[in-house]
Amino acid sequence: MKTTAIHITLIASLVVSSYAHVALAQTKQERIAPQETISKQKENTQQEREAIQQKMQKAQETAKTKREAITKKLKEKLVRIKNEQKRQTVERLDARFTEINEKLTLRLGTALDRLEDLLQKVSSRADKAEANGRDVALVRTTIATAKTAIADARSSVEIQLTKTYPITITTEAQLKSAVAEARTSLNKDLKTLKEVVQKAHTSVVDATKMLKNIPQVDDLRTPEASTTPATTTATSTQ
Amino acid sequence: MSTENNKNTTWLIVGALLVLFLLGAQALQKPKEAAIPVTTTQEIKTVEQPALDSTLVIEQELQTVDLGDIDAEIQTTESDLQSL
Repeated sequence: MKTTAIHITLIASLVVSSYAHVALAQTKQERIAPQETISKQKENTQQEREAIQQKMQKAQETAKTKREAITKKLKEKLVRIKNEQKRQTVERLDARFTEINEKLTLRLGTALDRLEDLLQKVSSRADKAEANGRDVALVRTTIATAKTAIADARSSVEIQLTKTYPITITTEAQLKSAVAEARTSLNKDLKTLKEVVQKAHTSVVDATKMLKNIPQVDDLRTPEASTTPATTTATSTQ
Repeated sequence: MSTENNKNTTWLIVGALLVLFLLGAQALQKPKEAAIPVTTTQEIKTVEQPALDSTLVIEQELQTVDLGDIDAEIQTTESDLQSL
């Protein structure tokens, strides 16, 4: 009788502790799997981002070469202007236009990076919703629209980086209007570019709104998470 | 015989109490396990991760995307332009 009682106790203890270990292991695996998926997505984004950075650098180099020639021409034409102070002001404004163009265009490029990151989050959340049996067709459509808008804006940013705003000097009397013309042209182009980026921003907002329409979308988790590690283990043991 | 029965009964009670104790310990252990992620760096990351792609966070981040102030930048050239 005494031995039986001890046996029962030991068996019960073993059952309880093995159940606890299995439950704990499953919980840990569920947490690790989404982390792996997110890391993979981040890696892909990083590669795309590097390719974009290279394109941007190339565009900046092209613009630099163009600008060097323009500055040389400007200096040659400025010889006609007798007022030294005005000559210096024109040269300063020419450099400043270049600076403004680069600064604002690169800022819009950074904004596109952020929009891309946010769209990826929308996509990741949509994946979770879909894995939980929700209809995400409309969200996918808006994500595709936003991706196109971001790509269009990227092209516009690259083009804007190669642009130059030469000051066409004729006479000293027309100096102010020549500089104003270059400035207006820069202002107009930057505003057009901003509108394109704003459109990309709106499209990401639309995708987020569409995602928000899915009931309890923020509470959903990836159900495949618990099966992913099992597949990995099976492959590694072969 | 009666003493032997008493001993067996005592062992059974001890065994049953031990099982109950283990079950109780197991029940107490579960909330502790749930609290572990909050206390370690690795687990904090995984617990916070889903919140990063929540619609609330995305909306908040969308509001902070800076597109720059073109007019303000252009305005910085105004005095130089007027001096020409």
